[in-house]
Amino acid sequence: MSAMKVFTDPIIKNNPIAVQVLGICSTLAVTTKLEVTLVMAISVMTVVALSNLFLSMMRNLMPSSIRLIIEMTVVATLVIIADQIIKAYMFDISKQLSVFMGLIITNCIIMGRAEAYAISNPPFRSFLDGLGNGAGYGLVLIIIATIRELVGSGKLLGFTILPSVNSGGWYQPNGLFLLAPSAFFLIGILIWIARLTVVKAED
Amino acid sequence: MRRESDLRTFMIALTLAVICSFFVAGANVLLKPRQDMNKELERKKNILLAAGVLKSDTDINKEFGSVETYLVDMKTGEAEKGDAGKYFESIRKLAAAKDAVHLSKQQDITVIKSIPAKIPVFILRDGDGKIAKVVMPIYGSGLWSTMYGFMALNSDLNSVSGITFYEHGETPGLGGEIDNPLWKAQWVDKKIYGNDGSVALSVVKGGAHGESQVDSLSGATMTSRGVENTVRFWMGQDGFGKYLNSLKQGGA
Repeated sequence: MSAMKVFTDPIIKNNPIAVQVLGICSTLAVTTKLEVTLVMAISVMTVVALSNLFLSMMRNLMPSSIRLIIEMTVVATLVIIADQIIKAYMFDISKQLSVFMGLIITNCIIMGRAEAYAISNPPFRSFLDGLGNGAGYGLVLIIIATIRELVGSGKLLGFTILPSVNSGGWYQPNGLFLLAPSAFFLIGILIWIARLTVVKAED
Repeated sequence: MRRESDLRTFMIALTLAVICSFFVAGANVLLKPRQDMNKELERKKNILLAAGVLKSDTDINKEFGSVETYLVDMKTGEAEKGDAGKYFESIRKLAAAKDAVHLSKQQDITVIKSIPAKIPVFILRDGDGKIAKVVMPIYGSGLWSTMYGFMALNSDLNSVSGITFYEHGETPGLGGEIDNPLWKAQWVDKKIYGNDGSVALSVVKGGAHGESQVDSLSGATMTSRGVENTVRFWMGQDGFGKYLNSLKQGGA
């Protein structure tokens, strides 16, 4: 597989959320506002790319008996550093991300990529694989957040697109889209579409 | 498969732990000043918000410059000018310190066991130097967490100017709605004290009537009760009651 394909494959064809159905929890939690979602997507992308890179560099040193513990430690370190940076420079967003930032540690995509790819492939490719999976995760998050913020509050990135009734406009926001169940429906539909198109084309 | 000695496994684990802890500690130390600054700004913002003087274009540090900080002795209700930073950095530590005020079971309606000996209050004055708002830090147990916030009273020292919570761990969407501006707006102009001078304010289910009742949050009975107890405690004689009485009689 070419290096380019390592990066592009997980974005659509092998998308971690829509095709592999991983990392659903944070997708439900942090997609009510596009701005917060972007920060989350970038954080996950950075963490998964760097953890893949470091773990791949250490793959020949790692004793197999404590392999998972080492992976966990590296991922946790990266997430804590990312969390600290966001707390320092994006305080308002860090308050909205609250525990979900720390929960990146337990995001299945990150451990999944470390186990499935990084420990048996060279560093550069592992890094690309991480970037690609992070981008695939981010893409789904952004799609869902765009729909949820637009329908749920008539805004995008905090700017009013559809003026709501409460502030003198005509749009009646659909509150359901701000609650977690709406993300369930949207992800379900997205997985369905992915199954119909991407996966079917392969079979 | 490579042969693995226990020693090698141990050494690798140790090295990795040292390297990782170095990075985590480094990030923490380097970024702490900025994070503390953020927290302080957030606190000032909440104080101004409770006092009802925060607008979207307010320069928080500038506006806060005219706010006077007093330290209240919780045993006597006496106050003197002081600095609030230490209190907010270590509420728990101060509440467990030797000079802390321990609460009996009957006094401790909000389940916090003891409170710091000195607690800061913030006073905003009008053009004539008279008290316009008094902002007091309050905290108490909700359903899951300790809720930290501010209660601001108007110049009559009875009607609420505003209430905010800046830190809590209540259920998002249910108890977490104590952050909701619409719910907080209900509190404005409610009377804390009844005619006899005791705390009359209550958080009630199913439609609030009168000037001392606030609607509770639906789906969050325990959190609402926690907020009620927190307000009742801090506005009562074991909280800021003594201090407020001395203010009414014309103290500083």
